[in-house]
Parts: sequence; structure tokens; C-alpha cells
Amino acid sequence: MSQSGVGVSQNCINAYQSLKLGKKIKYIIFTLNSDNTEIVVEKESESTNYDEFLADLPEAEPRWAVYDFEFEKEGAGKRNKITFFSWSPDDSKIKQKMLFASSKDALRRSLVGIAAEIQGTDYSEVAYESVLDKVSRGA
Amino acid sequence: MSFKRSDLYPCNPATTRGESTKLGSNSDKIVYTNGRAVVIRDLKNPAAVTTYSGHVQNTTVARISPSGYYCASADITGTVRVWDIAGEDQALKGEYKVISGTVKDLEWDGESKRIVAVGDGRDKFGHAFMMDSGSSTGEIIGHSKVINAVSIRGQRPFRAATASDDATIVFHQGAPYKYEKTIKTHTKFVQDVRYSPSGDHFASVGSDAKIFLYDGKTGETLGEITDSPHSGSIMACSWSPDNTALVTSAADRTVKLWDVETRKALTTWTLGSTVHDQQVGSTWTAGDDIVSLSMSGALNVFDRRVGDKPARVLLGPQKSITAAVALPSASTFLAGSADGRILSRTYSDAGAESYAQLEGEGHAALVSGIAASAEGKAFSIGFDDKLREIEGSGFVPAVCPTSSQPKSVAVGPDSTVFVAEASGVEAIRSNQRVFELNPKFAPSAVAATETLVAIGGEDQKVRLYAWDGKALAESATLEGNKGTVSALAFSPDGSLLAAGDSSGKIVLFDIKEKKTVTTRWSFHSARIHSLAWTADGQHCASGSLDTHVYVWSVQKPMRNIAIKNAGPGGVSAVLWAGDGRLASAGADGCVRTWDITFHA
Repeated sequence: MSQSGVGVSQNCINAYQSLKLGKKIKYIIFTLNSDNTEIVVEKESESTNYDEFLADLPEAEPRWAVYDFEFEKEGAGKRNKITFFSWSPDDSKIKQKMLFASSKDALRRSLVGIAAEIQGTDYSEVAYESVLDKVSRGA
Repeated sequence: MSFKRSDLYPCNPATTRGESTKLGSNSDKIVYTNGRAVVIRDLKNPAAVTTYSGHVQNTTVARISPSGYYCASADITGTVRVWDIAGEDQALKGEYKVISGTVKDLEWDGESKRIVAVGDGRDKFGHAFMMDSGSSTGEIIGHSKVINAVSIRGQRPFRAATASDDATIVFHQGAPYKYEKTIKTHTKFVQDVRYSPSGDHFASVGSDAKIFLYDGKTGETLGEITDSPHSGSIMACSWSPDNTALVTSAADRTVKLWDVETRKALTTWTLGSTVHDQQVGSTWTAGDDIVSLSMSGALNVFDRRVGDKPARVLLGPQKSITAAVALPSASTFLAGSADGRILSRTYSDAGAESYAQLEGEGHAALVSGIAASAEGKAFSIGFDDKLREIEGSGFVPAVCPTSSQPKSVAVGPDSTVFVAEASGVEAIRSNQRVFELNPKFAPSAVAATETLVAIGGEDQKVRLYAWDGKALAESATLEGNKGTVSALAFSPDGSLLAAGDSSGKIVLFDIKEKKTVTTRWSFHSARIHSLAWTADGQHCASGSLDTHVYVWSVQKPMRNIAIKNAGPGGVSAVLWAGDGRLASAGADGCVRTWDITFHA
């Protein structure tokens, strides 16, 4: 697999650790820094509103995100699954898409404990229902 | 965040010229087929309508079991499906491939256990089988051509009579069904054979315009009804629930009621004078309604005490609905279908039971678009390359030919009509062409406000033109769609434009800023056929070939209301009918209404 050689900033790991252990942060949006050399945290949010998370995924630029997905398993109470999103909309520039696709592994491998992975190219693929469907499978 | 299913306005039966169409009934319900759908409707309660779309191929006949719990429906490939009608989910009891050709008729036995299906095939023309296992219960033999009808004696000892194009009727003993004898009474195709509810007699009718009566147990011919005969092929016959009368529907456009005891004609109903008025099917419900089907698909409901005309006529589209529009009154809409017909319909809570015919000459081919003006006029375009105007309850006699195939229509200020055609866009006012635009791209959709006209093209772009009453002047190009622009709609205040395309994407544009507002309305997976805004401009509904309907929000573009599988075969039109009521029309010829609760 081709690798872009982009590094992961320490902030990303710290933010992820606090999401995983602190249970306060709901989601983190990651992006590349302006000169495309390092993966950085764009936003950390404590909002539990899924729509706000969707609003943070831009319409024409790729992103990565980690979302602490909480759902009710029928007859077995609440479940939490840390979900990794690769957001790569059709409308984004090809260079950006390439760069994000080849840098994804660097970020993904440095985060331990991800339970589910979602790839999205349009909003129907990251809608609450379709994510819930994927995440709750085998939960 | 939710919707509730409300009314369903069904299509009418499909008919074929020169062939008999079988209608089934059980208590007050009648059952018939159109396309892949099976429709069950209640004559006493218009709101009780169900459709079944489990068949992969076009359906031909459906009948409800005497028990009332199951329906058996068959299609052109010889497949019979038995499904539950007592519950909501229409669970499949069994699917059986019984013959190799089309099934023309099927019948349940009196115990709702066995089914005989007949039709066309390579090695056999009929099959008798158990409804739950599909295992054979005898054989249907003795015919040399396609079998048109089968009727089973409802009581033991069971008997089955089959009527065929080889001009014979074969009488079977059962069950298991065995060949008993061939009855050679008719001289031409035998179109229908029916047992009386008591099982004492059965009757047959045929293309030789003759009616014969037989003994139900022995199959002995009792005689012919010769009093004031039909003058054309008789397509169907049905018995009264009390066994005393017989009704026949014929291609001579008449329906006749006979007294079985005296073999005399009691009543003759004459329906119209055109090919469309030929009678091709009938059923007599247990609730004493006589239903006769016209070639046009109209269901004529007769009362045997009323002699001159049908007590009521139930109309509906016979082909898929290709375009529909809400009239400004909001309680009425117009629906155009693939055969060129346009019907008007008032929502049933406003008191209407059926569609109404528009007076005057309509389109001769597929209706490709209808648009309504604020004054209440409507304009329709068809693949007969005509623009027609609809005012009140009929077409205006004047008609304007279009220069090439029209694809989309929109109404602008003072009833100027913009028609997007294969080769250009025409502006037509009072049936006169006032302007013609011949752009480099191929236009595919059009929408208009007071001063602006938006034209979508096959080059995936939307162009805005200013309209001054005389000419169109290009003012901007909007990009963002991923396929041929297939639907355009301005919000009521004209500030936003929704553009749907053939890839299923909807792009929302801001007209003033000439930029994209959102591309988040992208949940459809196939061509967008129709877009409709609510009056407040906050929500927009979309209907697509992918069979789904979505309701989108301008304020919260990430929230939507999904109505999955809203129209089997694709949704071709969506329209709002007052506050929170959405109607969708589709390829199955049915219109469904939904009560929408918007997101808070």
C-alpha cells in the first residue's frame, strides 16, 4: 500500500486518548495541516447532536473523524462504539482525495481501540441510520 | 421526523383488445391486476385499498380465496403466488411455476385448499395444485389451444369446467381432477365459464355471442339463452349471489342481465360508442354490485334495479403515471399517464371516490409534463408533440404543436408557457410562439418564476435566463450536478432553486448569490423525476426512479424524512396537498398520500 509519508501530530493521539478514556469528548475531526505534512486535530466537540457532527464534515473536502457512537442494543442496554470515519466526498479535488487516502493508514494505525470503520463519499453513507446499521451489526 | 401513510388511489385494471380480463371478488372486495401490481379495493368503502407488488413480471389475474384469508395472483410467465391478505405484511404462502406460458385465469375450490390455474403453455394448458404445498391434485387435459377460463363447483362433489380458444369446454371431475368429457356447444373462442354460487348450474359465453347453460354436477347441456342476443363477442359472465340471474359483458358495448329460470333478458345497459367502451370483464359481488369492465379500464358499477345507466363509474389511470400537478385549489390534482390520458382527482377527504375524466380531446401519446399557473389553468405536453391547455374540467379546443419532442414544461408570468424540447426551448403565450431559444446544449428540464427561467441541460449544468416578456437573456450558469438535469424547482419566493439530476443528486442553489447552498440532498440513488416545495419554502420533496421519496429541509440540510419504497417501479411525481400532506405518483399507476410531520 502506498504511503504518503505524512506524520501524525501528538495532539491527535492526546485528543483520541481523552475521547477514549475521558468519555467527555464526543467526536474529533482530523485534517491535514496547510502544507500537507502532518495530520492535525481540526475540532474536538462535546456535542451529542449527530447533525452537528455531520455539519462539520465539509461538502467538498475530505476529512477523518472519530465518533463515540452510542446506541441502544435491543434488550441489552446501551453500547458505545468508537467509530472511525473516512470522509471523501465526490466533489473534492482529486489531489486531496489521493492525499487523504494515502495518509489514512498513518492515523488509523496510531489509534488503538476503534470498533468500526465507515467510509463515506456522500451524505447518505454517513447518515445516522446507515451508520447505526453498520455499527450495530454483530454488537 | 416522521410520516404516516394515508390514502391510496389505485390504478384501474389493464385490458387487452379482443381478450377477456378476469375480475375477482369476495364479499364487497374486487381484485384485479395492472402491470406488476395486484389491486384489492372495497366497493362499499373506497378507503380500503391494498396493492401487492410481489410479482417480478406483469400480472394477469388474481382471485381471493372463498375463506377470504388468501389471494392467489398469477403472471405472464406462469408463476402463481399465494399470499396472505388478512395481515398487514402480505406474507407469501407459496410461489409455484405451474405452466410455461401466461396464466389467463385461476380459481380456488370451495375449501380454499386447491387452485386450478389455466392459460398458455408448451406441454399443458392448465394445472391443479394444493395452495400450501404446490403438489399436484389431478390434471387439466383435453384442450388443444390456450385455455381462457376455469370455474370450479364450490361444493362437493367438485367439478371444474375449462373454456378454451379451441371452441370447446372440458368438464373435469374432482378432486383429484380427471378428464370427464368435452362439451362442444360454441363455434368460436369460448371466453368465460362460471359456476353459480350454489353449484347447480354453470354458464359459458364466447366470441360467437352465444350463452349456454349446463348442469353443475353432470355437465349436461341444459340449453342456450337465445332471447335478444348480443351482437358481438361476449367476454365475461357472472352469476348473481342468489343464483337467479346472470350478467354478461360483451364487446358490442352492452351489458345484459338475464333471468336464468325463464332465460329471458331483463335489462340491457349500453355504454358509449367507441372501442374504449367494449366490455371485457365482469364480476358480481356478494354485496349485489354488478361490476363490468370497459376496455378503457373504467369499472362500471350497476345496480340491477336501475335500468338505464351504471350507478357509478370508477375511473383511474391504466398505465403508469408520468406527470402530475397540484392545482392551486390544493384539493385537486391532475395526473397524466403513459397512454396520453389525463385525469383529475379530488382528495377523498374532499368527497371524491374516483378520478374524473377531462372533457375534450387529450394527448395521443405519453404525457411528459404538466404545469399549473396561479390562475388555475394547467398546461400539458405529450410525446404527440402537442402543448394542450386545461381549464376547469376539460381541455381547451385550441392546441399548439411543438417543434420537437417536449420534455418539460413550466408556466411563467401572464400564462407564458416555457417548453423544454429536444432541440430548444419555446415560449408560448395564448397558443402563439413568442420566442424560441436554440442553445448549444440539449435542454432537459425547465422552471420559471416571474422574471427568471432556469433551464437544465444534458451537459449537467443549469442556466438562468432573464425573461422580459419577449426574449430570454442568459444571465448565469450554475454547476454542481453530476448527471443530466432531470428536475428543477424554484422555491415559492424564487430565492432558491433545487436541481435534481440523473445520478440522484439534488443541488440547492441560491439565485441571488448564484452559488451552491448545499449538496447534502444526495440520498437518492437514481434519476430525480420530480421536486416539489412546500408553500413556506422551508421544505422540498423529491421523487426518484429509485422508488423512494425524501423530504428535505432548507434550515437543516442534514435532516431528512425518508419514505422508502413509496412507489414500486419508481416515483414520477410528488406534489403537496395542503399543509403536511404529500402525494406521490408512480410507475404502478397508483397515487399515495402521506401525512408528514416535519422536524422540529
